[in-house]
Amino acid sequence: MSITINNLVKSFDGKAVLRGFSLEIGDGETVCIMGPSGCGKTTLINILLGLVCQDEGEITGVPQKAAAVFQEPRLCEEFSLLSNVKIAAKGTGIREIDACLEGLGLQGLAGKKVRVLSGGQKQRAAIARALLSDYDLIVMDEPFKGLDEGTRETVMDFVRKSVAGKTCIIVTHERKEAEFFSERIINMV
Amino acid sequence: MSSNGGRAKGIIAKSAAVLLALLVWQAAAMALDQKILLASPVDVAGRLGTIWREPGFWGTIWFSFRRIALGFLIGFAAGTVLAVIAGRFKIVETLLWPYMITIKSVPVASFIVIALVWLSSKQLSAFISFLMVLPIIYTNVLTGVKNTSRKMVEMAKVFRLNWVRRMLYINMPQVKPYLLSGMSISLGLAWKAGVAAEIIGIPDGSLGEMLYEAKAYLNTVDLFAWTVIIVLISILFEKAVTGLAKLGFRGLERL
Repeated sequence: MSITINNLVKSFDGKAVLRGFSLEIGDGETVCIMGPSGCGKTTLINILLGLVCQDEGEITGVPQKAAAVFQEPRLCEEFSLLSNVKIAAKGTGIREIDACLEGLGLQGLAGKKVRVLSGGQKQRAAIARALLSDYDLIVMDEPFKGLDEGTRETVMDFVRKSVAGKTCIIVTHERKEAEFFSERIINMV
Repeated sequence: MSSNGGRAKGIIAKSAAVLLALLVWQAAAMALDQKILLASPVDVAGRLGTIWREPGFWGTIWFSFRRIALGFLIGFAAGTVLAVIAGRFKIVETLLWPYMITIKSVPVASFIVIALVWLSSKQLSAFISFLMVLPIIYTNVLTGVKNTSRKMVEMAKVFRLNWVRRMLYINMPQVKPYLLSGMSISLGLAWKAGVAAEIIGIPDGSLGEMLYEAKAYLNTVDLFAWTVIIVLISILFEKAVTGLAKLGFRGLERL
């Protein structure tokens, strides 16, 4: 089922962030959203995830099962990387988890507490958590920010393969990243 | 300097300060030269060497320990549960506010005297310990619950975590430092208030009775010796309980 966003309006403290935004995303389609800071990209994502309510407008077809990579990793720092991944990976086998961690360059770190990981490793752990969860829609808000060039390419490649066939929304500031993931790039202003 | 070196230096400095305090105490006792008014640390140490061999010593400790520990455990459990519910429902926090503020404000001696009307002297120390622990644990845990990161709550919502996982992965790490600090404070208070209740209620075979009798017979050396024993038990109990709690948290974090 496709997601239809119709005439979305949202303001914070009287300041309009979204002014009549509309978009249709097909089932299994990957869409990249670009735009300057403050144009409402994260607000749009938060509305789609049910974390914020819109002031006006309508959204239909948002799947119940969603996963997200937030701008910050939002991990449980005192728990191991494996525990953090397993939080969302209900019923996922250890082989699949290992394969995902390896694909994201996190092999050998499963037992480490998240608080000892580097910023880049934490970001990849957040990506692993989302990819291993049971989802029909995955939303990623600048997921590759802070990753070094070599790692970024490997991770992007793995993410593209992993989300194939699932509805995916990626927010990015990098045109190259957007073009890598989708021919459909939405520019928000 | 390494942290181990700094810690060792701190321990040495504190030990030296304790030694100095003991010397000041000994000097004061010698200057006064009246055991009834001030027993010396040497006399107290000597008494401690014999008191534990007297019949009924361990029974006395067990009598008070099990009541104060029970009061602490019930206060701890009730404070935690109520704080979690109050953190979730504002109305519960509002409804509990007058009780918590009253328990915090009313002098412990008033509670002891009032409680003696309702309870037997044997039950008093458990009830008073419970009363002292409840608001501290409640307030600390509630602060922890309220400080739970909004962003982590959003994460839990997106990934549809059930309440057990939310408690374990989101709330528990936030509450942990507040809970440990509350435990540390309330454990000491439970012993102080519990023994105070026993001194007023004077139940047979309690630490409070020993203190009361020592005071009644002007046996200051015994009074000091029992006080040292109470302090030692209180410290040991605090270390054991907080140590167990830390172990428990560590175990949960390995899940």
